[in-house]
Amino acid sequence: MPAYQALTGLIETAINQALEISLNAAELLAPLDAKRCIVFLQEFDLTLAFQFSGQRVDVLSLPAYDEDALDALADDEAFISVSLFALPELKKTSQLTKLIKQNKLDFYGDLAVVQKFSQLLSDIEFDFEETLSAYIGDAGAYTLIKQSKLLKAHAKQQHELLMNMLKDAALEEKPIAVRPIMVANFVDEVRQLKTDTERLEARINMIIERRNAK
Amino acid sequence: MSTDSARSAEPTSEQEKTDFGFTQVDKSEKVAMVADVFHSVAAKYDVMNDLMSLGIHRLWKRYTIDCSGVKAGQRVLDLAGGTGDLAAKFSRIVGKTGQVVLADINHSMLMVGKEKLTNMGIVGNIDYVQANAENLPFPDNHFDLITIAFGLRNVTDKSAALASMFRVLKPGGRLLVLEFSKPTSEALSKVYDTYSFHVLPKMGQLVANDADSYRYLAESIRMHPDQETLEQMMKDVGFEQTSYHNLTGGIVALHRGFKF
Repeated sequence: MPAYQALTGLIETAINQALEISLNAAELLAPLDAKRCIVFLQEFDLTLAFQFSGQRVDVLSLPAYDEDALDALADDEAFISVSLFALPELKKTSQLTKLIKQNKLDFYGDLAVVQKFSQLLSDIEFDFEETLSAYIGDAGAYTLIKQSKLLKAHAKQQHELLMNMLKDAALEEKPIAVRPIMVANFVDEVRQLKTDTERLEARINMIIERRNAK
Repeated sequence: MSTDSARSAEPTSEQEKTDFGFTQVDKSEKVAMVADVFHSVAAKYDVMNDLMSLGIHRLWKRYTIDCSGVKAGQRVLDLAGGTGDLAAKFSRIVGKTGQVVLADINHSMLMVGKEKLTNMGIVGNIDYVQANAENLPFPDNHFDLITIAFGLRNVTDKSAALASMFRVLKPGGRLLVLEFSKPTSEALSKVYDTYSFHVLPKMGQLVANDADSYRYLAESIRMHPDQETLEQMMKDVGFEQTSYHNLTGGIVALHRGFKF
């Protein structure tokens, strides 16, 4: 069975379902109409093309892009080679240049396509309540979304609390740990003790010699 | 369904015979007989395809599109395009500056495809043409890409059809033939035979109330040239850099050829 095609089918379905329930997909997709963003995922050696057309995105699995293919990129196409781990950073449009400079992202073609694609990923908003209401009714959807928001707020609060505890613990407990200056002082004191002991030993030896001489 | 009556038709001359499933019929009659099959199944075509292949036909078609290399502004011919699965995607890829022609010899299939694509909002860059693959009504060197998915085996004179496709393809253009083929493993072949000849007709009877058409489907698949033969046929009419890729153990194969 063509595994890559099953994968792109799933991705395409998920993206288009998400776009359907989005509040602002039309606005974000408009500048991407008839554009193509080709993404090479380095870890999987997989080239995916996101073809934008009206309110839809078609996802294709393409053969690897060589130099000739990159040279043949059309005006409304962009190619990016990116690590899977850097993918979340693509959501930040302002980070694109930084990623290119850090060699986390190779880029060819129309930068505007990548920027608009990045903007789509970061700015898309969903109306889950409207979508859910079709299945469980308005009241059910309202309750579920309200509970979800409360749960999310609670989780956020707990997360912040935990972070604060960790931060406080780090600041408060830090003095217990041995600092470099304390180690240096301890080494000095040991050296002093050693010197004192050597001097005492020398004096005792002198006294013994004097006593033997008598 | 008129295939029963068609099967009993006596061919007039050995030289004018061709296969219709496992039956030899007069060449001039095959077009009408195949047309009858597809008139009969047109309305349930998509549902049956999903049922028969457990949805895998969508992946085979996706693979075909992935191998097409088609870009914005290009001209695509989706031959025997049926209900427009490939044409829909090509229409979005070629965009407003490109053109897709959905062609099928069968008017019922073409109308089902047209209605489906129009309802999907696919308009503006797509034309619907009732055409016989053996004599394509297009100028020479016209298309960047031609696809024929699960259609070639129904064509009476396959070599003539391939030659016609070669004529209308632009230099540098490519032909993709997605078609049932010969399973590569003996074990799979046996399972596949049992499924095709015993399960498919019953499924056709239950869902489309038409067992004969689906019996013809199984028979026509067995009569279709295997991978190597079809590749040679493509070479014979002038295609270059021909190759094929087996899908799902060779149940289906995608043949590719270029015109230079």
